[in-house]
Amino acid sequence: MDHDALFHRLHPALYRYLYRLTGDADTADDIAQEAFVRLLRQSLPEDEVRPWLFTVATNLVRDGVRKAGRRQRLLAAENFVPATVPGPDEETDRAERVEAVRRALARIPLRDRQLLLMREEGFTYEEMARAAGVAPGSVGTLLGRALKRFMQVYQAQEGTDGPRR
Amino acid sequence: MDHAGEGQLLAYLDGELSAAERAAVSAHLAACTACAEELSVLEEASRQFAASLRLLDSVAPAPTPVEAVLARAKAERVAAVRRTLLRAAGIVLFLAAGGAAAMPGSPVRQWVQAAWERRAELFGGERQGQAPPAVAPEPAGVDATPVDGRIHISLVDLPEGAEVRIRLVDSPVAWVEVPTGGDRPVRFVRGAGRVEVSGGGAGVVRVDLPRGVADARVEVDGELRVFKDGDTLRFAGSGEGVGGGEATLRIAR
Repeated sequence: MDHDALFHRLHPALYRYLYRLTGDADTADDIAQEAFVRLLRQSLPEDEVRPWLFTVATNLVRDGVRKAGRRQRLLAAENFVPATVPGPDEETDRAERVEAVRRALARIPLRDRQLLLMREEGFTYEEMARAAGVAPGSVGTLLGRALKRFMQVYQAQEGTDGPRR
Repeated sequence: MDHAGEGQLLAYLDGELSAAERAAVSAHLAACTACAEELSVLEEASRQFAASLRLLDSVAPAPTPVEAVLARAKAERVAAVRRTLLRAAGIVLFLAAGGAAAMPGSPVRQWVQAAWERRAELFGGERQGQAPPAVAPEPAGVDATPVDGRIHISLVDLPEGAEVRIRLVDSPVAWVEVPTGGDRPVRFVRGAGRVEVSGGGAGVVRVDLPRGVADARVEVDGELRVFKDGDTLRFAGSGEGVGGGEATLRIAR
């Protein structure tokens, strides 16, 4: 297993998944690192690495594992440069919508979030079933309910028909 | 077919159905407005959900660079291996020390014992399982004054193998000393110009006879063994040779 290549291929997606799942960049960063540390102790077939990594990371979130000391971020958040620089009003509006998404995700059950976010990362239903510990045949139904639950919570906050694009 | 379920429609959207299932759902959707509308709702919800996530991602700080994550992961792996090896080495040492300490005469056993005794000294504990230092029992002795130039020492029931050292001394009185600690207590019976000694422990019996007396003798179990002849001591038994101012004999029965 070429760990360097795996890290480069999987880390961005894992971090993105964890950031969406937890809503916190530091937590996502820490847990992604911890999951990769654990991956190094494993000897897995390459096609099982990605589901294993996301499952372990989700379990770390579930168990509330946090690193005791947050290490110094090597790349500060302020280094992030958006594609377009919004004006003051637009920026406020955007921040509110981001906060609404974050709150809506936080208000649905973790398993719903896990399934929805794994779906966005392109996992198969079989992989999602193993990661969430549910029957493969139930994944579609669970996803459908989760999707609707998210939309209800989000629209209730926004007072709109859904996210603006 | 009956109306398609929510899960079935989502699986249809996600390409998770088998070819046969997909064909059946497609045929049903073509004929069922309700299911087609439900599919549209799910499709739109999925699109809106994805848009929400992109919005969230747009403010996400950049993660730690992959190289740094990789370096940390590898460092922790090395540390974990080192911890495992140290733990294993500790167990091996503990077992080896325990095994060595269990062997009589082992230096480890002596070290452990010394450490234990040191602990007792430091903390005031009593030494466990150790006998007090051996102290030789004091010998018992008695003097005897010659009467009319005569002194007879009678040794009775001394332990087998006891050594009797007899010498002439420049003293007016005789002296008999017998080791104690044996099964039989030491008994002295003094009479006129006579001492009878019985019992006693293993060791050396000392008999000092005054050089100035004319008749000095030592008897063992009623038998004359050594007597003074002038300024010398002589053995009465055959084969024991002639002593000088000193004579030694061993109790044998």
